[in-house]
Amino acid sequence: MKSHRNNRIRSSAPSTFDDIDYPDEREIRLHVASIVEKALPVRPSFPAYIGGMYRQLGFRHLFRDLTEIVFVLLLGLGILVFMALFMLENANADSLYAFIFIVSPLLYLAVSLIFFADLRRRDTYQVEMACRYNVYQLASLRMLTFSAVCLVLNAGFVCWIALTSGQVDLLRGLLLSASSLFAFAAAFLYGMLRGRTAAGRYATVGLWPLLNAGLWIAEPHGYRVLLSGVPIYAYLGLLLLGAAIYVGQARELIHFRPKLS
Amino acid sequence: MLIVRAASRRYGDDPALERLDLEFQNGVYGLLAPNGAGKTTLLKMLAGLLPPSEGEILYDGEPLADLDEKYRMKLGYLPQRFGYYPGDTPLKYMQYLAAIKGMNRKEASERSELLLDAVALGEAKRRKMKTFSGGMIQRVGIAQALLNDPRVLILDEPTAGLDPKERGRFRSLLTQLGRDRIVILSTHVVSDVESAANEIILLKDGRVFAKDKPEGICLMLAGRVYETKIGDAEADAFRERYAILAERGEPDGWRMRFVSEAESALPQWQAVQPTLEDVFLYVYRDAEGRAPERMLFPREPAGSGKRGESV
Repeated sequence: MKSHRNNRIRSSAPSTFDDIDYPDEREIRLHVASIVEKALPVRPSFPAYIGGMYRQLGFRHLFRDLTEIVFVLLLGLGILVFMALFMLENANADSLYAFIFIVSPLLYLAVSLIFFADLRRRDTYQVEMACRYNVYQLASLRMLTFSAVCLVLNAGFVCWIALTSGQVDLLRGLLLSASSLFAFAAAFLYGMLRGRTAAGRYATVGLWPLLNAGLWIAEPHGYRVLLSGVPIYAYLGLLLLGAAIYVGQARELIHFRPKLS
Repeated sequence: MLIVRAASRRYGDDPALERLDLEFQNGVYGLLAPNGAGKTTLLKMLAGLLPPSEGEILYDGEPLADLDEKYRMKLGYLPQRFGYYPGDTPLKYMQYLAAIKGMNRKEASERSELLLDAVALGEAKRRKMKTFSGGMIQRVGIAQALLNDPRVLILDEPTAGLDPKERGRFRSLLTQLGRDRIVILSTHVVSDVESAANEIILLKDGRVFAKDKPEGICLMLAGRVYETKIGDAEADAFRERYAILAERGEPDGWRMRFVSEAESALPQWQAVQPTLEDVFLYVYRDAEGRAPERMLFPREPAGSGKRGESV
């Protein structure tokens, strides 16, 4: 190729594309890589992205409102324990399963709601939205962390109920609690991402306690039997489904853009 | 290069901006318009916070929506209302913003300290921001916009709350920054951009009314701006007839600066070089020919005439 080009130059023939210096292998690879990157951009996987964001931010910057979060969690936990004490005095095993199912998402609801409620009203919203990790990307990581913390606190709560009452099967209680938490959390994020109005968003949130309390009041026996009679693997299935949908919603938050009017 | 291509923005059925076509290369661009003319909407669109209802905005040939965080990594943005956490010190807030801008901890600390010194807040960097004046908060806002050494710097009314000395310092900072990046700032204070901006963009009725160098913008009124002295008896009729840019009460009448569309000037009229402020006042005068009230005062300080300034 090179000698052919040199011959042409020496013979002063009209220049063609062959006269342009042919790039070496390294240069070709670099150009191909840059074209491929532009045409088919590789996005890091969700876990890799979330991990990278956590390493970049650290706990200190991710939870600026740590005092408020800890306060809400402790207050919520206190209320749950108080309600549980009442239930332990008066309820049988079926009622305790129903109680665990209903209250398990409440801690998550409390900490998530105070975060989302003022997200767009905060003065810092615009500044933070113009940063590399914007408000919704931070929210995704926070939501995942909130759910993990609530999962652990709920597990401790269920263990305490199981030990104190002696009527609750620990495995069933834990699965009931975790599946309830993730089913609610998935519905919560779905409502927050897709609700067109504030009323629509909060309706999804309010539906959970209303639906469960309504069923419990309307058909107490049937509701209790349903929760305690469903096989454990069905709860395991609900847990996996809820968790998968929840992580999917959290992933959507990464690329979420609010519809500004 | 940042390109706005046929971009419109509507709020419901109300058009805020209509089919804007703009190009920005390295340099300082002053977006000049009265309040409510769509400056903030345009800047939010350029910052990627607000998608255009129609059209597109490209940075180096790629739509902002596709670039997403790659664009935000190159962006510095000061919103019109700069929010902060009142319990934070400026240093802590800057370090937080540096972290979410993707900077490493060492770089974040160094840049934060350097920039707080640059905006004369070095000594107040460990004071809580809730004790700060409006001007000090605004200076933190300017410093944070520069944290990641942005290639595109968007500043929405950056001089609001700054005193004259701080404004002067800010203008020289702008000139330096504009050498190797795109700097776009909005203001309704002409003096903020008169000396610092390479190009001025005038927005009117949601469209680009003019985009040119400051000298080019001034040429719009070349040969049409005059000053003259008018007696009390003729003053009202004069105001009715001409577009008054400024007027000052004097012991025996009024000194008027005005625009005349007539081809021949009266002998007592003195032709003057139009300034950017003259163009601003003329372009944005209301239906009765009155200039925006708030803009008349900067030319002549209050108390300079027996009767004071009038609009």
